[in-house]
This record gives sequence, C-alpha cells and structure tokens, in this order.
Amino acid sequence: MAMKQIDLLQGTLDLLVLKTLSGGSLHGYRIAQRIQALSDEVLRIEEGSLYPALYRMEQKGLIESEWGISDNNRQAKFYKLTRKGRREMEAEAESWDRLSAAVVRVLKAIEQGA
Amino acid sequence: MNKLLLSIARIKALFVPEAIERDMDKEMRFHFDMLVKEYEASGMSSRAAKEAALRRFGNLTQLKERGRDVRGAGILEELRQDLQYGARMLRRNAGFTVVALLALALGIGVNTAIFSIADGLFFRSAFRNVDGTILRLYGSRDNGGVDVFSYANYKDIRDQNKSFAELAAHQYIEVSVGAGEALEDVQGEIVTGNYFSVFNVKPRFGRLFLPEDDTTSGPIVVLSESFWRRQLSSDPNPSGKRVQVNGHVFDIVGVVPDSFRGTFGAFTTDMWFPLSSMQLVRPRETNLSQRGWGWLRGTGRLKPGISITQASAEIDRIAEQLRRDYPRQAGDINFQLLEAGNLRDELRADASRILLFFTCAAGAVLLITCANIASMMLSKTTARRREVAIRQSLGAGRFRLIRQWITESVLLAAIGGGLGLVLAIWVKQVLLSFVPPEWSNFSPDVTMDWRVLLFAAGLAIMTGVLFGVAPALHAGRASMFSALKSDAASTMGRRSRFYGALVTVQVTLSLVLLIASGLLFRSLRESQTMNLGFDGDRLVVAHFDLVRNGYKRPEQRAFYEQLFVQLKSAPGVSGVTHGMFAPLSNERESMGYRIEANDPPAGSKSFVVANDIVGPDYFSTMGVPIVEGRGFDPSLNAGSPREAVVNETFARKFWPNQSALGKMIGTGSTLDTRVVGVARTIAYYTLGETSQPFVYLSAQQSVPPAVSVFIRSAADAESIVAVVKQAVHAVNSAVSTNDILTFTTLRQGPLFQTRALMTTAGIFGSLALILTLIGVYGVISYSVSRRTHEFGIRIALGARRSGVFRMVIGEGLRLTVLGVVLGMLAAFGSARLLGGLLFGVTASDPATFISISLFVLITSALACFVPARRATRVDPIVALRQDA
Repeated sequence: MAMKQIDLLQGTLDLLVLKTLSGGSLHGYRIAQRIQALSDEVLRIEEGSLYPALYRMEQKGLIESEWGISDNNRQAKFYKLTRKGRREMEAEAESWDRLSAAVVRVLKAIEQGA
Repeated sequence: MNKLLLSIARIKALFVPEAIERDMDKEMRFHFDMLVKEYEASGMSSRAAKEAALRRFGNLTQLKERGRDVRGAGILEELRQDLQYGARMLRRNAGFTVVALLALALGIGVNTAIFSIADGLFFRSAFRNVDGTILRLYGSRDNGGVDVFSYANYKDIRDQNKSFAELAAHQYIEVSVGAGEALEDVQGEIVTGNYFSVFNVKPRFGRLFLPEDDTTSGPIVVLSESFWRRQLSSDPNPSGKRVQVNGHVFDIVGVVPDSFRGTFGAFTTDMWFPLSSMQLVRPRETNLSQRGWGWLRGTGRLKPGISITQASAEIDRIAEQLRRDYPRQAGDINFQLLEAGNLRDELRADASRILLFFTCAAGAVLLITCANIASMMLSKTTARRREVAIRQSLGAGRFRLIRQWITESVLLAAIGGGLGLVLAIWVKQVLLSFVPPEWSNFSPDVTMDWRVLLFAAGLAIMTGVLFGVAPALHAGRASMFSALKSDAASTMGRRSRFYGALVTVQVTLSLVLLIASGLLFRSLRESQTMNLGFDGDRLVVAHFDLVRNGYKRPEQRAFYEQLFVQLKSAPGVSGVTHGMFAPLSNERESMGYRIEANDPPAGSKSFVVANDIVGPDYFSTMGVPIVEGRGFDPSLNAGSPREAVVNETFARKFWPNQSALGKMIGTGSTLDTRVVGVARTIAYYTLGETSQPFVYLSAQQSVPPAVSVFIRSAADAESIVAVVKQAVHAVNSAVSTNDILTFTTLRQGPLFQTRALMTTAGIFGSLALILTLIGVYGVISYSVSRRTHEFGIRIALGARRSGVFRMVIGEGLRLTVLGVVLGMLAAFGSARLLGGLLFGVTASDPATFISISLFVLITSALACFVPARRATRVDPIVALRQDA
C-alpha cells in the first residue's frame, strides 16, 4: 500500500476499538476493517496488537465477548461494549479531544508566530 | 460477562488451558480466513493471499503467547506452570529429591513433634482459659516459690475479695481404689464446693459438688468420664453406685465429661472429693478450721473487666489484714496470682528447660538440613545453567526465574513437611516415653490439631524459602551471557566461599549437639559404674503411704512389725530392714549434734549432721561395711544406753587420728549417745556427691518419722517384687503397693532428664553429622569437578598424584577445622547449661571435646576421600582438551 500509515499510540487503539464497538457488536476482523475504512485507510490495525488489546479490555471488563454467526455464516467471536466500557470510552474520547485540540492550538500558534 | 463469570473463566483457564487455546485458535483462524478472502477479492492468487495474510499476522505463536498472558489466569497460571515444572525437575533428579525429602521429613517432623508437646503443655488449656481470666492463687515462699495455704485463710480471701467471680481451693491427692490384686492408684483432687463452677463444667451424669459439701457431705465422689468408662464399663446409670477408696466406701454422685481433665490438664484427674471427705482419704489429727494447717492451692475466675494487677493488689491488702489479725498463725503469710496453665507451677521451669533444649537441638537439625539442601541446590544451579539460559532467551524475566526456583524448593519442602507430619506422630511417642514412671497420670493433650498442622505447614514453607532463596538469587543472576561464555572463574570464588560458610555452620552445629550428647553419655556411664559404697544390686525398696489408709502412729508400727514377720518367712528374701530414706532418694533428715572434743561453730550450739534412724540388721542387709567396731546390738531397747554408728567421714572429721569407738555424741543438751561402730561412707543424696559426715541411730531407741523398707533378695531383685507385694496384701489388702521398686530402677529415676537429653542430643547430633558429611562430600565433589582442568595442568606439569590427593583432602579439612573450632567454643558455652545434669564429668571435659572433634575431623576426611581419588585420576590429556 502506498499510503503512509501511522503507528498508533498505546491507548489510542483502545479508544478506537471502543468507539467502533459503540455502534453494536462486531468480531475482530470487522473491527480492524471498520477502523481502517473510517480513517480512509490511514490507520491500519495490526492483528498482533488488536487481539492482545481485545483480551486486555475484556479482562478489564470494558467489553464482553460471545460466539455468534458472521455474515458469511461462520462462527465468529463478537465483542460488545459493557456499561463500564461505554463510560471509559466517553472519558477517553473527551480527553483525546482536549489533547488533540491542544496540539492543534500549539501547532497553529507556532505557525503564525514563525 | 460479569465479575463472577470472569472469575470462573479464570479458574477454568487454570485447569483447562486447552480451552483458551482452542478459543483463540478458532477466533484467529476466522480472522485469517477473512483476510485471505479479502486479498483474493483484490485479485491475488490464493497462495499469494495466504502468504500476505500470514505476513500480516506476524508471529502467530507469539501473538497467542501474548493473548495467553493477558487472558490466562495470570499469577495463578504461572504458579501452576512453576509447580508442574518443579515437579518435573524433582522427578528428574530423583536421587537428590529422595535425600532432600528424608532430611526435610526428619527436620520438620522432629520440630513439629516438639511443638505439639510444648503446645499441649503450655499453650493449650485443658479448660477454657482463652482470655486468661482463670488464675491460680498460691501462698508465697520467701524465695518466690509457690506454697500452699490453709482453709481458714482461703475462706477469708474468698469472702472478702471482690475481684473473683468464683474462687475455689483444691489439692491433688493420690488414692488407692479397690482392694488386693485389683488395687489401683488413682490421681484425685480434694476440692471446694464451688470448684466446678470456676471452670463452668457441667456434669455428664448426676451432679457435681455444692458449697455445702465443704462441711456436710457423706463419703461422695465425682468421677472422670475416662475412669467411668474404664472402671464402670460405661455404666449408663452410675449415680448411686459405689467405689472403695483407701478402704472406705464412697457413693458416686456424678461424672465429669472428658473435656475437663482437672486443674492441671497435663496431669489428669480421675476422682474429685469434697473438702469434707479429707479426713477419710487423708486422715490428719487436725481440722479445717486450723489456720496454721496449709494444704490448699486456689484457682479462680476473675470478674469481667478486672485485671490480674487489680486482683493482686486486692489479695495483698487481704493478706496484710490476715497478718495483722492472726500474727501467730499467719504472721508471715503472702499470696501470689499466676495465670493458670496445664502444669503444676513447680514443674513449669523444669519442663520448659527440657523443651527448650529439645527445641534448640531440633532447630539446629532443621538449620543444617536447610544449609545442606541449599548447597545441593546451589550445585544444581551450575548443572542447570543451560536450562536457565534457554528460559531467559525465551523471554523469562529474572523475577520469574527466581520465583520458579523458590516454587520448586517450597514444593520440595511441602512434600517433606507432609512426610514430617507423619513422622512427628512417631517422634512424639518416643519423646513422651522419656517421662518418668512416677508421673503416672501425666498425659498432656498432644493430639495433632489445626495449630500443629499450621505450624508444620509454616515451617515447611519457611524452610523452602530459606533453602531456596540463595540458589534462586544465584540462578536469577546468572545471565545468559555468562552461561554462553564458559564458566568464569571469578564467580566461582564467591560461590565456593558461600559453600564453605554453609559447611562450617553445619560442622559447628553438629559438633555442639554431639559434644552435649557425649557429656551426658559419660555422666550416665559414670553414674552406672560409680561406687555407691554399698551393695545396691538385689535390693528392693518399699515405701508405704499408711496415712492414706487411716493408720495412726501406733497402728503404723504394728503394720510394719506384721509386715516384717511376713517378709522374713517369704521365699527368696535373704534380709529385711528399714531406714527413713533410701540412699540416693534425694531426701535426708539432719539434726543438730553435740560432739565430744569438738566446739560447735561460732554462733550455734551444735553441728548440723545428716542422720538416719535404722532397723536391726541394717548394715548387713544394705551391704554397708562396718570398718571398725560393730553394728547395733539386736537387743537394744529404749531403756538401754543409747548407741550410734558414724561413718568414716564423720570419724575422720571430728576425731582425726584417733579411734571413734567409745566417743560420745548427743542430740539434746548432753552427750548421751556412745559411738559403737564406724561404717563405710556411701552416697547418701545423689551420685557423685562429696563425702558427707553421717550418723546412724537405732530405731529400737528412737522413733523414725518416716519409714522405707529394704528387702535383700537371694537372687535377682526383680524376682521378689511380687513376693513383697503379696506379703503387704497379706497384712492389709487396701495398702497401695505401687511404691515397691528395685533399687536399680529407683536410682534411674533422677537420671531420666539426663537420659532423655542424651538420647535426643545423640540422635540429633548423629543426624546432623550425617547431613554435614553429605554436605562436605558435595562441596568437595563440586570443587573437584570445577578444578578438573587445573588438576590436569598440575599433573601434566609433573605434580604427584598423592600431592593432588592431599590437596583435595586438605581443602575439605580446612572447611571442617574452622567449624570444629567454632563448634568447640559454642559447645563450651552451651554445655554450662547442662551443668546440673552432669556428674563425674565437667562441662569442659577434655576427653569428650577432643575425641568428638577428632571423630568429626576423621569422618569429614573420609567424606573427601572419594572426590580426592577422583581428582588423582584426572587424565591430563582429556582435562586439557576440555575448554577451560
């Protein structure tokens, strides 16, 4: 793929996964696909990071899993947000907004100052 | 998933890790297939699509490993892995495991047994005294010892104090139950009516005592449940049945449940009598109201919220009042309160001294065991360096490795502890078998309960950590890097020193134990062979407690006269006589004597000299030789001139260089007694005592306050014990014959402590030495294997093989010599603690110290023998070809 891809900060992946799941339950492949698509292929999710992140969040009780049937009629494991996960997502999203807004302000200020 | 389900999943993961594995496999397989499909859809060949998908997934094993890390049961899962791994390692090193387990089982078993006895004696209460509110009340002696008090004083304290909810008085007493052949000596207590309510005891059958039983009960008795089972065959209706005690018939009124074992739990009580039956079970020419007649001790339960200090202060105030009110009978009276335990307080110091000795010895053995296993494990760390290196390269952290080692050693210790617990049951029986026979009702509650189990478990874990920590730290430190390099000599030096220190400690501890045992052994042998000065073989000593059977003084005399008639005609008896106390019984009476041609010491009117009042034929029957003059004239009587026999020491001390015969002595104001003979000096109180002056008076002229009967047997003394018992029962079938023993048995009595300590120290010491020798062997073998290369060079350069041999032995001895020197110093310090138990040897007996030290040195040299031989057989070519 020609497009430059960005490495995700630790924690950012968690937020993206949670946000992706806020629309309903998905299996791992679909989560990766959805993030990639929504970011216009900028963010590519490594399977090597995705599953550990999913398992970790499941252990923390942010998401829960259940075996179900995929679109193509195969058994797949579906993840969905718990109430705790939704609270966590909201808190994380807010702090992400603040962080990115701050970064943008700094960048702008330096641009104008220079 | 809620919390509960999550925990279930974790626990499931612990036991069925395969389930997780399958779960992850299936999930990733699905993802993988979807990726392949996606690539195929974008136009790749199916093969290229698979390869691309694989690339994306990266290292699938590592991914699953990470998943496992997150999803697995975490620390529990690791523990399970460590245990599994540890078990595998222990199985692989079966030889080491067996030796280590044996050592651990012994170490932990012995310690657990001792704990369980100490627990039964000191910590576990025979009655509910968890909060320490049950106290003992004693009189006080000037030296702080415990004393008895009178019923009158007890009543005043009971009625005046406000500290105790209930305060009872009691005294233990031995009684004879039944008659003739079936006569049995039973431990009983005489108690006040409120006694059982102090302990909140409820009857199993019938009733217990009431306050009015202090003064107005008939002959009644309360039995223990075990006595009821034993003697009444668990009669379901015991009340109203009768039992014969000291020749009197007593009505059984109740039975106390097994959970109550009497005032001193380690000494169980089988019968309780009310105060009013005192005159039946132990007749005295006195009565309860006499304030001067002290015979009781007290036990009371404090009121809630009252401290022992408050209660003591109040008792002190009452004592002061008593001293003021009754200056004649209670002018110097004092009381003390002690927390109630399972032992009579007079015995507590003795018992704790023995137990302390046992504990130290057992602790030393356990320490040696730990040191030994630690050094065995340490030498295994070398063998396992590759394993450690591989695990490290696979990503195991240092902490994880340390934990693995400690898990392995705790696993070992836990199995050892389990075996030890089984062993403890047996060791406990051996230890309790040292208890002297006269403590017949000594049966502390030493069942293994959860506390003993907890102790053993704690000990096992502690042991495991103790001997696991050094090797674990070592294994953790050994980096992959240094393992891949060949063995660096620099780390070896430090390790050898550590080994050396472990061996030195082991040698020190085993030497202390062996020397203690050696000193005690020499004392015992000395005591067996020591010349007593008289013929103690073929002698039977009989002692009777006639007061128990209601004999007044004149009746006692008649009893003995009848008994002598019976005995003299009995088969196998070659002589009968009597004295006040048996030799070596640690009891003697002394009187003030005026002695012809001697002025009494300044400030006194007479010399205090030990004496005995003896029957006819005393000297011939006892085998005490008369060296000058004669024994007592058989026709002596109260009216004839008084005669005395003195011993050689007396004669030499008071009339040096002249004959004692015809000299005069006297116990009154005049010199009224003529010395008619001089007897050989014998051991009077204890073995190995310094020679003491001694006077014999005749029972035909003086009334002895106490009587011991001596019977000489024609053959073996043991063979006539039964004959003597028959003779006693022919006179009175209700007199206890429990105290009829051969002199040989009797003289062993005071030696029981020595014997118990010697056996323990000996067993523990040998055990320690064997462990130590294994340690020496291990260290030297290790050193030889490390130095193969060096020996190769030496031999190649022309060193003699005998020189190499000496070098290795020398290395072993260097370790041992330091331990021996330290051990001798430590033994010298600690043997003083044995002081009172030693006779015929000093606490620093050079023969014992030197012979045992030599023995330890020689055996350790032998332990080095095999590795030293191995060192001489090093083939220089093979050794040099090896990578150094």
